[in-house]
Amino acid sequence: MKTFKMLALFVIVVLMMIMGVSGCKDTETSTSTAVEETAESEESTTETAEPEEQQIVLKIWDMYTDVGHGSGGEAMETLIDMYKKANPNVEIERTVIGSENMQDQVSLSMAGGTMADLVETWPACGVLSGYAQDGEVYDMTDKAEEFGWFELMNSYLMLECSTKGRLYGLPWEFDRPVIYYNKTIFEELGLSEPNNYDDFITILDTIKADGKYDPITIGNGNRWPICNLYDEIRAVTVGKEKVSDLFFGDADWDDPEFVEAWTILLDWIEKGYFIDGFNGVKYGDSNSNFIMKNAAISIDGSWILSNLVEAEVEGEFEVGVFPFPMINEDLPPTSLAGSGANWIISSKSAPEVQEEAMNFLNFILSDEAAQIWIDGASVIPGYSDIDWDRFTVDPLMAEVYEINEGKEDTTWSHVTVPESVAETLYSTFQSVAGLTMTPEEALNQIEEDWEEAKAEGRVWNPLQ
Amino acid sequence: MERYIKKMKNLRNNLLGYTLVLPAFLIYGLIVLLAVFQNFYYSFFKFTNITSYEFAGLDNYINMFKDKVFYTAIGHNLLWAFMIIILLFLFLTIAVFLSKIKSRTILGAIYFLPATIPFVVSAIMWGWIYNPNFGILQSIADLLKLNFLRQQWLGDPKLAFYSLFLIGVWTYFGFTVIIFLSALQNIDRSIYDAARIDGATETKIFFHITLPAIRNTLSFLIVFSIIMSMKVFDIIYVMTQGGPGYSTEVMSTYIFKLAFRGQNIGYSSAISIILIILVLSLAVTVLRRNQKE
Amino acid sequence: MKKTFIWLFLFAFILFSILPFIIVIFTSLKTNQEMYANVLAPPSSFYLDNYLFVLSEAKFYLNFLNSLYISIPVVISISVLSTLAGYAFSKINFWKKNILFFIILIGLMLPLPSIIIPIYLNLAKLGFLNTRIGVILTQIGIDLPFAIFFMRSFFNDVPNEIIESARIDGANDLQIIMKVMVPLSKSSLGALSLILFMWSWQSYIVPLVIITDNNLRPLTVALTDFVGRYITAYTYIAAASVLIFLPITILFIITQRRFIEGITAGYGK
Repeated sequence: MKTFKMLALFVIVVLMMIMGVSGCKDTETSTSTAVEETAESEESTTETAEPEEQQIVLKIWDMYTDVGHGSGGEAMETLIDMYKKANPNVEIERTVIGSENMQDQVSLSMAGGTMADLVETWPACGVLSGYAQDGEVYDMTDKAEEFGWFELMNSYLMLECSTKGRLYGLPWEFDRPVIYYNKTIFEELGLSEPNNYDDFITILDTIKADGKYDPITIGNGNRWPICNLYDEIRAVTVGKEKVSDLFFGDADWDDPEFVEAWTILLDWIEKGYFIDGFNGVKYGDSNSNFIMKNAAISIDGSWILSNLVEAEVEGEFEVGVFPFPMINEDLPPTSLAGSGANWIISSKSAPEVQEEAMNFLNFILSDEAAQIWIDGASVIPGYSDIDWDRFTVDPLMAEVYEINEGKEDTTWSHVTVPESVAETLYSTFQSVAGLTMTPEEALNQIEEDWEEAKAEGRVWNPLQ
Repeated sequence: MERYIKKMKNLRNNLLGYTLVLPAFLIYGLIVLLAVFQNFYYSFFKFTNITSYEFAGLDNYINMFKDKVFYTAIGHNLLWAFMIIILLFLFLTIAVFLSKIKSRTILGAIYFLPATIPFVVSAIMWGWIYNPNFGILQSIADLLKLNFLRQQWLGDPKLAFYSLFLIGVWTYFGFTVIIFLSALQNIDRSIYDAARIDGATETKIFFHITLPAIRNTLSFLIVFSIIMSMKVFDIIYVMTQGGPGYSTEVMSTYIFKLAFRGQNIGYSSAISIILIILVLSLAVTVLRRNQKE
Repeated sequence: MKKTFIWLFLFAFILFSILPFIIVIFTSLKTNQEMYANVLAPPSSFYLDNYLFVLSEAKFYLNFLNSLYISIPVVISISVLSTLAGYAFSKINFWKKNILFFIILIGLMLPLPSIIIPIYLNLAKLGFLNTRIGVILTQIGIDLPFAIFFMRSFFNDVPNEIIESARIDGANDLQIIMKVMVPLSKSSLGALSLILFMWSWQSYIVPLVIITDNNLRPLTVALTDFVGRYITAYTYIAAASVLIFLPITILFIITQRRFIEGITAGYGK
């Protein structure tokens, strides 16, 4: 009985505390906004002659939290402060939303009419073009031309943010595929970076035969990693033309050449190149396998680099990178490129707010701002031909981009197709990797959904 | 006069009853019931995304019966329910054993402990336990040379569903044990003593005295388990998202994916409506049967 | 012999239910190297840096307070509402009572994913998005059916004579509830409160969808963000996990005897 009384007492005390705290907060904010409002109205009455001085409130959502390595939250705050200092009439309200949750929040808030003015979200291509077709996002084209973004930014990434010849997003994170390897293990086994696909297979066979380490770590529990790997194999097997044919032309998902790419991947699985149970291992745990030296190679992307570099220091080994070797060497070198994150502006915001948002974006693309961003968030904005002398960058980071430079760029499927097709893609590919479905069956099913999306006009169409 | 009093009493009761129920019903209605009606409404529309839709009649319901994934999902829900109901007898055994020892309350509390864990945390815990490369089961297998523990717990499409089911059991069994235990303690001791004097065996006592005496509790738990099984969502969504492939897909995860990722809200609403009808009819059937007996 | 068998059987289930806890608590007290060396071994020393890191760096105290701000109002409002409604459903004969109760029971059977989108859109219209009130209201709506069902079953077991005699003494229904029913149902109400507290503490999808601002988010949502950021730092993740379940688990351990009594009184026979 006594404990219950104590409990009740505790609850009451806490409740009163909350009432007190939230009450205080409420009054505080309400008074401060009231003060602001009066100040504003005074301003507007006295300074109606100068409309430029009008107070603008810009609401921003981004995915950069304060915690974790390369999380970028602080850098974002710095940039916002710099911008506010230069533009005293602009008030910026920033809200952080986790990257896992951003996509859902954007589509929900579009329906609820509650989206912020300026949002940093993902992915581009099919999903962004969906927003554009519904008239939910602001058309950046004219302003972007004025700012010279089309010269400044990578043309392929700009295409990913475009629909029917109009630009709706700013590519803010340049994603590249990377094969990371543990230099210490490679030395131990007398291996060196491969020059071609045969070399690569020999390396995998050697590690497998040695038996001490798993050749490749991949965590398909999150369902997208095997899609990424398939895309890479497809790119270096059939080349850019054929992949473009798939997304913009007449090629079908179950085209024999695409089936062939899956057969190669299946061969890898059957030879046991991957860690045990890779189909149910989470992405993070897969990275741990690399850091814990269970696996010699991790096939992944530029986005994870900063986490690996941090771990590299702790795990006392050196990380190296090499590009995915061409399987069909008759083709020009091909790689993948993607806009990992992009800024969009709400079509429902007031014109002056939209303009301010564009100005803000143009500001963060300046060299000075970008350097702060690269240092703080370990993210490279989607510039064209990155001149590495322009920025100070971690050498490994620079290497990740250099090894893919000058290649023909194609794209990752699961961020290119509409979300409904992506769901089918995830599930069927995971089934194929689990050997419960054949590649033909999976690709057939995706083709069906793809045709349906096409008929409904929901697929990405960047050009007029 | 008597009729007048009765009428007044009725009026008073209605007034009082509705006043007491109204605040709760208002919030419930505004938040939950309204959403159910909206769901019903949406289920007759075809959505191309969350904001644009057009009338589609019964298309969503018709499509459902051609959808293989829907059948897979519903099958998994029913399998989950079936296995939990079978296991109820194991949990009952635990309760029977507990009722024979002194420290039953503290043990009951220990069994209930997993239910206090937020599922986002249990997902992390079990993620480590099942990890095939450096997980707990893997380490135990290494330590004790138990090779059968070396499995792809979440990666093997044939096993993943049962691995998740085990987590479900982990969070749920303590609750059933506590409920069973209390029912057992309400049985009159003297009946047991009388039976023992008559020379009845323990098994006979269990089937002829214990089981009939806790019949209501058992049927309550069966209904509750069915409801829980049809609703199961959190742990599956966080651990496998229905994968590998569709091997752990249940109705709730399918609904969630369709609504959020597929942007197919009309279709997902139709599945929700069918799910609600299914759960209701299952629950009502079991309760009716119990009442007849 | 028989006794040993029973104990062995019961002990196996003890292991089953607490082993995951032990592992997480162990991991939270290890350094990263120690953890990589052997996952199973107990920590070599009482290493608290993981906790300090999580508390200071990740600002978990903020999320902790948010969890409290959401859970406590939910528990109190549902307790009050369900006591009133449960009493009415149990002891008062009013028009179409059974149909109304059936409608409330439907709420028990709804899977959350199917109603969360309409709820979001409705809250948007009310202007409750990205507020704790929005989460609290939703949580109340979702958990109310269970609470009403629970309180009604408890009140069903209270003999009508008690109410009649109170009525003869001149008490009205509100007084009966406050002076007779509430004291009688103290342990059930306590157990119900704990269950409700647990549920709103554990709630994930509702705050995830309704709250966008990281500063307003409860622990569960913050944890998944944290895991996303520190994908490989298991010791930090373990410490964060322990911080999330510890308050509720301790609360349960303190009150477990009462809780079990109360819950059994509610579900009854």
